Amino acid sequence: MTKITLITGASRGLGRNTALSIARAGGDVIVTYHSRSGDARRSRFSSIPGPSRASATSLAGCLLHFVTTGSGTRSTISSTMRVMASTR
Amino acid sequence: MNVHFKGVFFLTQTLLPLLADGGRIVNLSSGLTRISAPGFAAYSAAKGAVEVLSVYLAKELGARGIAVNTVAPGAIETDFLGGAVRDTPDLNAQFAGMTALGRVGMADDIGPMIANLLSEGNRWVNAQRIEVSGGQGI
Repeated sequence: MTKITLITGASRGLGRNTALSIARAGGDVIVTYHSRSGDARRSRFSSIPGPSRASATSLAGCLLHFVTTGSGTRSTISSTMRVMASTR
Repeated sequence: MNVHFKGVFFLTQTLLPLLADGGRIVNLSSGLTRISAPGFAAYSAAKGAVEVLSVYLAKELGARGIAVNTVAPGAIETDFLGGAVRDTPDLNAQFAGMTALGRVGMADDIGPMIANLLSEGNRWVNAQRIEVSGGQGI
């Protein structure tokens, strides 16, 4: 069964550290953030190298999705989770 | 209140159909629901609501095999409060002094704990508030 962890507020602090911890343990993560720009938010997770995938960054073999919480939060997160589950 | 409680409530409500049976929820609270500090009434009340919500979610989602817990960190050196715990030596020392392990927490004291809580070995931990603070305010 596919296991995906959604982590809100994951661009910094405890959320970021939790996302990296789960990714290092081999889990797929979706991270949400409020206001980080694309490059900035990706660089926050660049400490673990990995090849890129379309609309996702591979992180130690894990999928890492970024979802902005600026607008349309709930539907965006829902659709992203569906996409991740179906592409895994 | 919007971010700390309503965000948790409505996002959880929205994602319930997508959450797998046997899945997990970990909500974040704060050491400030156990010990009081002036100026944090709104924040702490919202976090207290998260703790009650988590217990109710555990009860209501138990039939689906979903475990729900709350992690309550103590003072941590993050951007919280504009980085006050990290950047204010007096405040940092004050929290360190009331912590059994003699320092404030780092982000890396919490993330791995949450990852571990989500592991299969901790599947029977349910409806708990778990304080992760190095023994703060004991």
